[in-house]
This record gives sequence, C-alpha cells and structure tokens, in this order.
Amino acid sequence: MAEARSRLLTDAAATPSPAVAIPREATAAALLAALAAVLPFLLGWLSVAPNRLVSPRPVALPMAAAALPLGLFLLCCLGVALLARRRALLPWAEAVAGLALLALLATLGLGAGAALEGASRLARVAPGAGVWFSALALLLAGGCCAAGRGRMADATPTRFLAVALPGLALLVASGLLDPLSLLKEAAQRGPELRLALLRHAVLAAGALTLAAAVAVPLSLLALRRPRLEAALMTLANGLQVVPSIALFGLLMAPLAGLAAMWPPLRAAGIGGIGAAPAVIGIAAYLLLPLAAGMLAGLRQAPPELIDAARGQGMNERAILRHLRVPLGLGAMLGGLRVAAVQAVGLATLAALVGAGGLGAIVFQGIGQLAADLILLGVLPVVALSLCVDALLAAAQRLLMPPGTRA
Amino acid sequence: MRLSRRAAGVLAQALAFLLALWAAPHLGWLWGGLFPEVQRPVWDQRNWFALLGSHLLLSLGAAAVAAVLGLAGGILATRQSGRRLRPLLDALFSLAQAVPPIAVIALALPALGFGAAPTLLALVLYACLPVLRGAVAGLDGVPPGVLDAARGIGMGPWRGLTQIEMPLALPVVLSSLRLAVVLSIATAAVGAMAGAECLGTPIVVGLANNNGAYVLQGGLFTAWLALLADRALALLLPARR
Repeated sequence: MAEARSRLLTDAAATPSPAVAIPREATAAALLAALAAVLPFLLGWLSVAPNRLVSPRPVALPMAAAALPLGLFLLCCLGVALLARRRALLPWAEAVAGLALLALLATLGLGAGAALEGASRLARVAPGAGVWFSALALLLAGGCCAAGRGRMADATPTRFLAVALPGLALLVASGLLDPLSLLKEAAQRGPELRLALLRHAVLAAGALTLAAAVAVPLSLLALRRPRLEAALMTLANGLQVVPSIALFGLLMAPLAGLAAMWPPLRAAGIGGIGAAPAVIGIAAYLLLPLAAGMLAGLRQAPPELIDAARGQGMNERAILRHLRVPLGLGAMLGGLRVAAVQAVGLATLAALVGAGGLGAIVFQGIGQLAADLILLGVLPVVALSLCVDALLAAAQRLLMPPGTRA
Repeated sequence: MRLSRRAAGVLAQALAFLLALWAAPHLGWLWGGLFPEVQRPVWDQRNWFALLGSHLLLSLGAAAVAAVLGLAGGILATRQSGRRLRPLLDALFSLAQAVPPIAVIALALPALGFGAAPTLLALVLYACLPVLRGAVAGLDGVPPGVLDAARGIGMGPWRGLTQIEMPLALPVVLSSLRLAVVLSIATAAVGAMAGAECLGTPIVVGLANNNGAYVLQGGLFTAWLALLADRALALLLPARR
C-alpha cells in the first residue's frame, strides 16, 4: 500500500505536464527503440552450426533476402521513438513496438532460410545474441509506453502482446520461421510440447484454486478478527521465505507417508511424487498475495459508508455483497493477478517432483545443455505468464469503478 | 535491552542450526528410520559446512552486488535528471515478475556454462529489484519541504543526499535489503539445478536418485537457513510498534 501511495505521489509530481509537453516515457522508449534497432547489427543476427553438435558461429544477415521486413523493422523502431513523444499516441507506440518484434522475426526467418541455402541438411541456424537482446528491448519499450497509461503506474504491455502474440502465431503458421532450429525442435516435439503446456496450465490453475479456497474464506473470517488476521499473515509471510525447491522436497515425504497409510489417497493419485506436492507447494506461496489482496479489497469501502449501510438496516452479508466486494474488486483482482503470475512461474519447478509441465522440457534441456530445448520450455512459460498478467490487468481496469483506482 | 534479547535469541537459533548441521551425518538411525526403503539415507557426498559456505558466498555475494547496483539505480532514478528512467524501471519490474528465476538460470546456462555463474547472474538480477524499488520508494518518501529546507541552509546535492535523504530513507532501504538477502538465499537453492554447489544440492541429487532422505535433509537445512537469515536481518530494523 505504501508502494501504491508513493507511486501516486510520483505520478502527481509528474502529471502537471500540459498536453503538448513530451511525456516522460518518451526518453526511455526512444532509447530502447534505438537499442532494438542497433543491437542485431552489433551482436549478430544469425548463428549457424554445421550440425547439432558443433558450436554455432555468427554469420552476416543475407540482406537481399530479408530487405523488406528489415526495412519494416527499422521503420517500426523509428515509429516507436516518434509516437512516444505524444502522450495521446503512447498506446500506438506500444502496438508499433509489437509490430517491430514481428518484423524482426520475419527478417530472421527469411535471413535464416537464405543462410541455409546450399548448406547441408544437418546445418542448424539460430537467432544471434543481438536478436534476443533486441526482442527484450522491444518488450521493455512496450512496457515503458504502457507505464504512461493512466494513473496506475502499471507497465504490463497489454497492447504489445495483443499485437505480438497473434502475429507470432501467424508467422509460425505461415512457415516463415521454419528454418530456425528452435522451430525444428518444436516440430519434433509437437505433441509433447502441447501436453506440457496444457499440464503446466492445469497445475497453475489447480494451485490457484486450492490457494483461493483457503485464502478467501480465511480472509473473510479475519476481516473482523485481528488475531486470526495476524496469524494468517504471519503464516503466509513465513512461507514466502522457504525456498520453493525445499518446500516441494519437504512435502514429498509426508505425502508419501499419507498415501502409504491411507490407500484411498493413493488410488486418487495423491502421493509423494507427481501433481500433489507440486500443487500444494505452489498454493502455499499464493496465500500471501491472495490473502493480502482480499483483505485490502475488503477494507476498500470507507467506514462511514459501512456505518451508513448498517444504519439503513443492511446486514453483514448484504454489506459484503453490495459494498465491500464491488468497491474492493480492483484490489482483490490485483492480488489474484500477482498470484496467477507467480503460479505460472512456480509451476516450472513442479517438474522437479515429477509433476511434468513445461519445466520438464526445461530440465531436460539443462541436462543435455541444449539451448533450443531450454528455450522451448522457457519461452512458453514467459509467454503464458505475460498473457495471464495482461489479461488480468485488463480485467482489473475494466472492473474497477473509476473512483477507486489507486 | 530488548534488542539484545532478540539478538541472543537469533544467536541461539544460529548455534542450533550449526549443531544440527554437524549432527546430520551422525543421525543415520533417524534418516534410515524415516526412509526405510532408501539404501544410503545419510548425505555424505559433500560436507554440510562446505555446502553452507558456498551457499552463503553465492547468495551474500549476489546480494552485495545487487545492493550496490540497486542503490545506485535508485539514487539515479530519484534525481531530477534521472526521472525519465522511471518508466524503464516500471517496465523492468513488471517483466521480472513474469519471468521466474529458474527461467533466467536456464537461459543463461548455454552462454555461461554449468556452475555458479548463471545462478549468480539470476540472483543479482532478482535481488536488485527489491533494493531498487526500496531505494526509489524511500527516497521518494522524503518530504519535499525537508529538501527545500536543506537547500535553503546551503546544502549541496551531495550533502543533501548523504545527510538528509539517505538517513530518512534508511528504514525502507534496510527492509528492502533484508528482502533482497532472504530472497537470494532462498533462490540460490534453485541454482543447484544448474550445478551451483549449495544447500540445494542434496535436494537435486535426492530427486534425481529417488532418495527422499537427501531431499528431506537438503530441504530442511535450506528452509532453516532462509528463516534464520530472515530473523537475523530483522534485528537491523527498528522493532515494530
């Protein structure tokens, strides 16, 4: 809350700018757009390896083959820098940053295809370091533009993702990116990847449901019982300190013991290995954001308003339904958003206890020190959590009554 | 008086932790009793104190680097000339929330190789963020009137920063430093996945070999160390209420 207040203070300090003034986001966005445009040329567009086992070496981008998307990419970078100079155009700058990412990838795909011409079938081509850093700079530029939107200093690049993700799906479907080794790896492991993604989402959603089933009733009870609230928050805070990998490990032994003692549990698929310790472990970390968000939300309604409602003869249940929940929805959704993003990230470690998910692909890649395999696991995790964050941020903006934004 | 009592309590806990660490290899009956099906229930691949040492070196080293970077960034972002950096920081925070540390470790692995380096990178990145956020929040929280008064009595920007702003921002900064240290002690355990030697190593080895006893011992000491560090660093902060 102190954080939100300080953000408000800084925003208040920065907002007296009249409509014509250049927004403060302009400098950072322009800097990042310039970096995005320059980095691939400095650090390399492509790296080619004669086969999977030899380490790759950087090669120059075949300009002639990729001239069109390259031009578009540079134009988009320039566009981001220029559009960000007007506050009203910041959302457009954010979307154009997404377009720049797509042009960057198209350049990469066409360049990779040209670089592979005449090479052996075993040759593998991957994006150079410059492309990765450029993509990162574009994502951050999108975030900078998003940070200028409204009073909630909230840098989730919703519009960037709304442009980039469907575009990326189109690019992949069109086969333009097929020459890249990452896509070859993905094609080989298609069914496995889809299954892992699904399982990852199910693990995260299961943990979120479990945590909500504990945190929501407890927060409602704790609202007017300070002792219970102190105990709940102490527990939730204490759990945050326990390293996730240790908690998953510690849960395995008691769960295995329980399953051994009580066969129906084992029959239900609950045991020391698998989804059970992962879901419980992840849920433990989600208690804090969920409970803190719930309690903050429930206290959003001003006490005078609640007194007035009581005076009118409303009972507690009606106050909850008509006052506390609608007024606190924003804060509650904020907690849900933090928890959901954490759940997606933590589910990566679920593979450690044999629960599968995208982490299984990541750890397989770590075991083989195979960069493509690691990326194949990590990139969907990042995309998934960015999507969840953006969707819930949008929901938060839509559902919050205008007066309660803070 | 109260502080010294709290300090004594933390010291006693630390001694208990070290004692348990020393005793762990001698407790074969305990681990064997809990995991009768495991053939070698006692962790003896590496000395516990060596693991503790490298765990602390890794996490405290990362936290120290992160503290310097985070404070410098926070001071820069709160100067008049650095305010334009603020949106970049917001974007960084929001991105860092979406990328779990294990993803950073895994991504850095092909470039930096197995061992402590990728973990160190991830730890510095993640410990940096709370310090940066704390420094910005703390320095922002200094009332403008106080700064005006400092300027009015002829203090330059440097003296204003070191004698007025930093002391006033100190509680927030310290609590963010505590968060950074605890976070990096907790996250360092994940580094065992990438071959960094630390208290997480027995967990990873145990998971790979289906040895629940190793997992339990590693998990126990990792969690204990993190809780201990949290308690110890709480001594730095003024007592609540």
